[in-house]
Amino acid sequence: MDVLLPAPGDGPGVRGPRFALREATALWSRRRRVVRAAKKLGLRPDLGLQAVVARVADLRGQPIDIVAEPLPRATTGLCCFGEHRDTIVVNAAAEPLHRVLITLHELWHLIEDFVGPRRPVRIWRRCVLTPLERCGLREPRPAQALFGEHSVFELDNLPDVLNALSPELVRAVLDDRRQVKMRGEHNHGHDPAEVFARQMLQMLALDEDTDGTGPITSSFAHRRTGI
Amino acid sequence: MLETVLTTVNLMIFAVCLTVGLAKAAAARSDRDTTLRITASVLLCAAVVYLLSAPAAYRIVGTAADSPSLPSLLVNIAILVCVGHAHALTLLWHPRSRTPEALRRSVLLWAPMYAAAIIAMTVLFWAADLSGPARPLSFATSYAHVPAACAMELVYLTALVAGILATVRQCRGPDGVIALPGRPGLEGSLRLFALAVALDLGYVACTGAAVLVASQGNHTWDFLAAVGSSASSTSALVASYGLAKPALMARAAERADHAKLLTLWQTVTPRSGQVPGGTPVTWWNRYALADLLAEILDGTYALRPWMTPAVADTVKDLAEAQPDAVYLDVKSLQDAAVIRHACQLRDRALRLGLPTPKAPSGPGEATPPTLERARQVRIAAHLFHPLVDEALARVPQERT
Repeated sequence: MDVLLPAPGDGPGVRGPRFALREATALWSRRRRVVRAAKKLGLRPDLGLQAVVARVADLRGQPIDIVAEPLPRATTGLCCFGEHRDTIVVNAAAEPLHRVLITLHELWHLIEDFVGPRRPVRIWRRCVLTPLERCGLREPRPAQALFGEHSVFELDNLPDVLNALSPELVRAVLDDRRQVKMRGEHNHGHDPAEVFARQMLQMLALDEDTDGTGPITSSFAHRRTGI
Repeated sequence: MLETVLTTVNLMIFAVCLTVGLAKAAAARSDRDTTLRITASVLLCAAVVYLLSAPAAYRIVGTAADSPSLPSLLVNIAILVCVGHAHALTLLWHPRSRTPEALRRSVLLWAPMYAAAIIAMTVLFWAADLSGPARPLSFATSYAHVPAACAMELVYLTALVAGILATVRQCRGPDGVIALPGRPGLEGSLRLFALAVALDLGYVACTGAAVLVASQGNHTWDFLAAVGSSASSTSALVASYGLAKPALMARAAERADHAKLLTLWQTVTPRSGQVPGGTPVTWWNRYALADLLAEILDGTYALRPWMTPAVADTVKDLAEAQPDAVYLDVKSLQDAAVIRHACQLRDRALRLGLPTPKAPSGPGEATPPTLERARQVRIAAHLFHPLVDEALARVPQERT
């Protein structure tokens, strides 16, 4: 029998209570941040995925195409920031709920710029880091990506990615230097895009409420939304 | 002594209504459904009723407002508002009463009735000029000899009866909310809700009889008002229970599912590989389940290159040979076996540093998103089924 229980030291959840507490606090604050951002931007996950996509398209002022294409295995989804329309490509091999998760992850990348860093970070940058850099007491450093680069074109997967995408999209990316972000196979559970995707998945109305009894479920079990 | 006991009882009911109401209000922050908001509001309103009905709180509020009997007016208005809320809920629950046209008709019919009753009660209360001592337990009967106070009680009870009858009628009957198809799990709770509203009829009948008799100067039936109050308290508790039970059950189911899914997550997560952040090992709220399911979806997806249909066929053959084949969930057994076999191949590849094979092309399962959690729970439950073990032992050795 091959039960893969986490061994001490190399698995999750066995690194002591202080580590667990720190993880839980960090996750809680990230969840709070994405929920606030969603609220601020007027996203309504309780109205379904289409409503969220439509709202993001409204915010960006251009339509969003969501297509399912067979992508290389290591890429579950990607989004391309176009000039007239944004494109989200979801790996066709993913299951329907997984596709929803991937789409939500990519939607975060499309709204990231509207959200910006948190207020304490903004204040810290403006009041401490920028003056220090101006006085030459600190070297300006590019922001480090905590959870990977989300960049899609790497040398070893370039042919596969190019084959999978539509020629128009590839041309847009290569000729016009359009920005592309990707979601990999393994996603850090604290990556803001992933926290957003999972938090929205919990708040998303997944079905159409065909029998019209959604409000009853909402009143009694408050589980009309979510998985 | 009696006042102390009743203060304690009322404050306990207040605490129950407040807790359930706050839980619903918190849930309404993520699911911004009108009915959920009204449900939270009705419970918080009921909490106010029982807070003000507690004799100690009644006296404090009365003294502070310099009108010893004012809390009685506030309680009556709050009860009427509660019934109005319940009435609105039953209208919004029913797909046919929820249409804009039907809603407009209902609002035009009922909103003036509730508003008129509340205004009339307020006017009559001030007209009665009740400056006597506070009577938290027997206001209705103690001041029944004052015509304006008696009229206020009668207006209140009449409006209440109208609201209760309309609400119960919406719930019951062949076209009622209870008879709606779909979500049969909530039928019991809907019945409890209708029962709670109907119990208020007992309160109205008892209080009405006691007030009418007391207005003639006869106080022998005053005990009926106390009976009425206990019916009303029971109603609040039944409503709170009915509204809280499905949520608590769904929560318990989520917790149980989380515990089951942990096994699946631990199986699909590579032992030696890096665990990408997040430690969804403890269940604390609904996010933990979404987190775990996301990890499982990613984990299962990453296993695709090692998945072989041969294992599924072996399981099918084995299952068909079983005497109790009809009771076996063959699909889940197949999925569980394929996942465990893929895990073995993946771990071997990681150990030996073998390259990742090419993933099979084509889409995976097409499970509707709403059924995905149940499917994963079924797979998790079948992960270590003896039949799966047998199938894994039978698959060609060179593959493992």
